[in-house]
Amino acid sequence: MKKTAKSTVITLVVLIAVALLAPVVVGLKNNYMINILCSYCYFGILCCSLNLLLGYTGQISMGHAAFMMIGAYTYGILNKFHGVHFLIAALAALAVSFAAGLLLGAACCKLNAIFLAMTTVGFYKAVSTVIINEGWLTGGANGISAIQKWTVFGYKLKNWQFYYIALAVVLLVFLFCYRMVNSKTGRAMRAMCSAPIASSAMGVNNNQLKFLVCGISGALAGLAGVLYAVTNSYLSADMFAKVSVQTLTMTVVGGMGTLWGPLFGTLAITTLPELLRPFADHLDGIYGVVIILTVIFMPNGIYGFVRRMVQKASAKAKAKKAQPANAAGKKGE
Amino acid sequence: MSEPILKVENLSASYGSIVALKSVSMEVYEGEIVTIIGANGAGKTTLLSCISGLMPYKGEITFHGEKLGGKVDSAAIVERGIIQVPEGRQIFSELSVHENLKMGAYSRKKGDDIQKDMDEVYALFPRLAERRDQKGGSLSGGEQQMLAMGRAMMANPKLLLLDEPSMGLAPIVVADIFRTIRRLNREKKVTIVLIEQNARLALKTANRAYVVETGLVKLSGDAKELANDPKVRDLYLGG
Repeated sequence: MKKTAKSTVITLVVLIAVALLAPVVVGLKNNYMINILCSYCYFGILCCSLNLLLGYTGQISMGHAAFMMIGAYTYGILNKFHGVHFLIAALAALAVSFAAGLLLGAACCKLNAIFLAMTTVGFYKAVSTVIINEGWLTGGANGISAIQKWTVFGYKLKNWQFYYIALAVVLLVFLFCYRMVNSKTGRAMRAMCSAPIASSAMGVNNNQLKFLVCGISGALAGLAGVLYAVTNSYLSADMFAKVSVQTLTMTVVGGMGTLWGPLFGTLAITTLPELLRPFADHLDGIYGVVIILTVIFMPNGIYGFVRRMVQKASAKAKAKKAQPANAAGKKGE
Repeated sequence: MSEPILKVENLSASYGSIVALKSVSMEVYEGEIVTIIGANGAGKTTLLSCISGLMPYKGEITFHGEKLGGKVDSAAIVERGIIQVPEGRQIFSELSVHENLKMGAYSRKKGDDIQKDMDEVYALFPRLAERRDQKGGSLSGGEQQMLAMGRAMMANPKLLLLDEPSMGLAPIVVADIFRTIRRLNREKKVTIVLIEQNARLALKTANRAYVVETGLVKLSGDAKELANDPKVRDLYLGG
């Protein structure tokens, strides 16, 4: 097992501490801010999900919101329309979005690059059209409103309490991704990504692996959907219109193919629309510009950029340390 | 001689309507190096792909007396101990050298002396040990070929299929690679099937040879004798 670097542990501890303190800082009753904090959580999970697919396996999904929608609607329909307990509804949402992920897996086995990207866009369109038109099942264009907050043993959770649950879920997902990426399966994923023929010549069943990753990625996106449904207590198909592009932006800008990248990307890109409220209509355009600038100037994303800066700084510090020592040595001669 | 470990009978395969192999039969005995030589498009790589379970075929391939299914299932073939080093090396460029080697042992069970084999591979290729934590993609062409061979050794092969190991490498590096191939055969007792454009070198290295032309075996026999055959000299060795 790979040893965890000290810097990784420190970063993680700092991030967790900030996340734990955040609700107290913004005020436990400030529901607007608490909801934004919750949105960090579900977007974080969504990015981890896309990162497994795009960053580690090289499969493009341009319609990742579809899986989030499937998860959110499965949860909403069961919980709101059929009165199913929230835990069971959440598990069902995971199962259904896992199954939807397997569909994507079938596409991944047959298609690559641009064709896969187009297929996933089409898949998103199809899912959202079905949701709008099948009103008897999904509430149609009216959506699903007044989805209940969670109640544990008769106690109704407040928004900030739900935030801590969402935070715990993010941490579990992050841990899961960490374990998966560093496992034998994770190595096979990366191997398949860079040389598919060689990986199958080493005995990796590429198609089986694609199905597995797509299923897991779908299920995680569905999980994000569940948190989304509960946080906003309202669902409608058009709410997801920008999510696919937004998730892609977060993953690319943060640094795909690294564990930290999506987390940084989520923090940056979820904050952006809140800061840019006056330009809300142009958000997609801004995402576009941000992606272009990132790809040109920080091809490895925020994470890669920060890491290079830190490496440069430490190299400089070392050089500085070495210099006076040399000078002193010369004087002594 | 005893029974062959690999027996290929009346093998044919095609890419859509293009026939790559018409009817190929060959045998490989334990402990030998067999080379398959022939011009571009003769069907050499297709033959290896069929043996490795990477593409469908008609005809029969038997390994250690057991028929290989003929289905596209490379994982099952790897488990039997037939390992291919693909053309163009196909290094996992984003993985470190060490991780590349670990990938070689992908289909082996945990324990199973993997660590011992890892040490042996590092002893065989000291350059790889030096570059253990470097990304595979950052190695030179020769080092990548060594990594590809080391990776294949990690799978504990009974039969090693080498596809054009000299491709795109400087002559001095090629000589080194071929020395290693002979060493693998002699010291690790690995049976080797070698595909090579450099027919002179291949015939010098191998025990026996097959000459393939447009999907058919034209000639076969002792490598040294073939190297002196006037037809072979004329066509493949430049007179």
